[in-house]
Amino acid sequence: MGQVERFVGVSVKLTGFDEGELVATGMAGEYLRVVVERLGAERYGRLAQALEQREPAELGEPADRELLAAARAVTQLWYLGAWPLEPAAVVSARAYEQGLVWRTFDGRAPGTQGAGPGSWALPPQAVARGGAGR
Amino acid sequence: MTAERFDAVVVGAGFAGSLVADRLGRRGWRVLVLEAGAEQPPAEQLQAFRTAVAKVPGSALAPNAVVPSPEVLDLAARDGGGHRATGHLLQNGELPYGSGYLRANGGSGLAWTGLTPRMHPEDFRAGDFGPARSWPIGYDELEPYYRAAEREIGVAADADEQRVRVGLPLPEGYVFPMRPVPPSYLDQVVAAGLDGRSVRDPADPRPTPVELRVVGTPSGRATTPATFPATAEAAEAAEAAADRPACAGSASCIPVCPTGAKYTPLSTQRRWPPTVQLRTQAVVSRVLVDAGGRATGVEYQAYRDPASPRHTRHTVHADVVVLAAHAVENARLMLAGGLANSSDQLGRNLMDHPVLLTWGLMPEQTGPYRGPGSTSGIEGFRFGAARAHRAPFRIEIGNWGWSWAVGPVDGDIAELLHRGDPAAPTGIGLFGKELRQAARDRIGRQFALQFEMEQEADPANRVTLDHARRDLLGNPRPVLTYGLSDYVKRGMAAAKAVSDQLFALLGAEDHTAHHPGLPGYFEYQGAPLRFHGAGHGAGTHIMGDSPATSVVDSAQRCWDHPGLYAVGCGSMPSVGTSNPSLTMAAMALLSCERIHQDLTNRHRISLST
Repeated sequence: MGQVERFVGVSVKLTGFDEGELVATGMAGEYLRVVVERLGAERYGRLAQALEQREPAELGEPADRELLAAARAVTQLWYLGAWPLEPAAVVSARAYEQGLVWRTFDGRAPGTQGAGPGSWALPPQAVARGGAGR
Repeated sequence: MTAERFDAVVVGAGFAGSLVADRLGRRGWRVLVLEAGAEQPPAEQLQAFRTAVAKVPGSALAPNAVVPSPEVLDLAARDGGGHRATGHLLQNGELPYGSGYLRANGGSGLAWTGLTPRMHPEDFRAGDFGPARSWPIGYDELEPYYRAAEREIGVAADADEQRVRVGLPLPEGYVFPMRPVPPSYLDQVVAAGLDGRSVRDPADPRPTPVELRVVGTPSGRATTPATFPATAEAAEAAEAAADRPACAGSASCIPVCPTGAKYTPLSTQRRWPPTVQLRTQAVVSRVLVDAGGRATGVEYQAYRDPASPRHTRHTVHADVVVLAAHAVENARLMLAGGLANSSDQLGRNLMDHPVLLTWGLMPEQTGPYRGPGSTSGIEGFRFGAARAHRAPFRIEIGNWGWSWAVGPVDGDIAELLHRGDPAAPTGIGLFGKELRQAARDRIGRQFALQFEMEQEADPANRVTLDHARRDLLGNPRPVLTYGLSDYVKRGMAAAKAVSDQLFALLGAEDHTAHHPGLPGYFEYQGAPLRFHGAGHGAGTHIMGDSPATSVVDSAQRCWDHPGLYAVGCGSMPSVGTSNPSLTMAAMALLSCERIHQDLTNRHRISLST
């Protein structure tokens, strides 16, 4: 298994989005690079290994505190396109646009391509299904 | 070096300045516009916004150390009460002045929400109802200029709705240039819950309930052009509107519209005739007056590098000087020169629309973070006898979740990832499908109400200068002294009581909570409240009918100085409850008539001598 595939597998457990959805963002490779750079290869390796054996909800032991913080940071990276720990930074404009948080409620990141004239008058689910003009 | 000469110099390339330059230039006058801030292409602004960690109103602009823009992040609460300000504005008041402004080409008009309600005829006679000042002119005198401003901005609105639901006496057959912006899905949910119901205003001694009605808000964003009767005015409006694509609902009007659907002063600048010249990164430091008090020009400092104080000094002469640099900066410039203050009102009467925010969760998904920041409001608390007892207010329905009230979605996600931590043994935060569902439930049902209070002119709320603390160019920095009167506080308490009833009618979970640890917090009769700034700085060179009690006359000319105009919200004697940009634009257009006359008279004199 490649490094990116492994990272995506770990990220599925963290984010609740499936592999296809994560890959479709086009961000997996870049996020892996950010995670390795910010956490260090060793800590990332321990996080990946832990999540291959356990669920994130099982990182509750005091000994797991460091891995739990890392798990949260990786999840925030996917949800917001930004690394949350100091120094906090948005990875790129594209990462911001691909933030998963907006998709949880059928929305889009503000300041990116809008859903089209009048789209905001429709129920959100209708727009997510392609009900509004582009 | 000989100084340059123009017919008019305009200080500031924002909303008012860009319009004044346009109208004078179109009449053939040679106009120089001096803008302190830099020019930044919209594509760069968009990139800056998307990659900003804190997506605040100034986050689309590149940092400018020479000409910094005051920002909401400049304020923090002080431990044990009070507040602390960093940044451009110094503050020493009882409460923080919570509004910033942008110092860049286009000014705060780059980052405005784009709402363009007119002031109501009653608002101009505010003094007949309560403590706010009346205007020296009435609605009827400004009305033709409202129409001209609406054509220029390309306002989208429904004339019948404005007549019936707001009570505006629009001329018969009047058509706004653009078809109304569709109300958001949230507006429709709120209307379904509230329309036709009524609530009680506890500040009003009469037991009359106020009937609720969700009303579309006029706005300066392109939709589809209205169908006009064939008139020259209609052709002009259609031309202005054709400039911009229909709003696509990108939900970032503040700070930058990605498509250009929203009007900004740059739209007017694109139509400037060749008689208008713009110079950015040119900071006016002094207005020149002759022995008789007449304005004769300005001195300005030109800088190249926004990170370095290095600059060169220049002088420009003109028959008319128009200050259009924002309420605070206009006052600052005149105070620095010892000008225009025979009334002792210069810098005083600083106003804003203090905003009470309330927020909660609807029973179902609302589709937040879509479309313009607000598309509808509730107008029933703006008018009438209740104004004698408390500040009137307009209620905006906020389409962007809790972003203004609490902060961006980053905070929601962080909270879910820590939910239950560390007290509960299993509470280590949510992950996976649980997190995804909780985020949907938490953010997808969000909404906020924005209660914008009329704040009356209080001479104690003011701009002064600190000569000991100067900016990078050596100019004294502005000091703001600000507070809220009991009239405004009563309005906010009444608004909170109204909000409680609205949430109950909507079946919404109220999450509103005001904490002492945040700037703008105060208690009124034991109730915790907090206000935000609306970015509607006004009143520092107040307009009136007497030089003894006001700084400018009804055409925004300084009483003390022929040839010197101070235009913008700084001239407003009272601010009503309408977002002020449209009224500022109408006032600027009215002033242009007088400035044109002034220039014509000066020209005749110089030709005959």
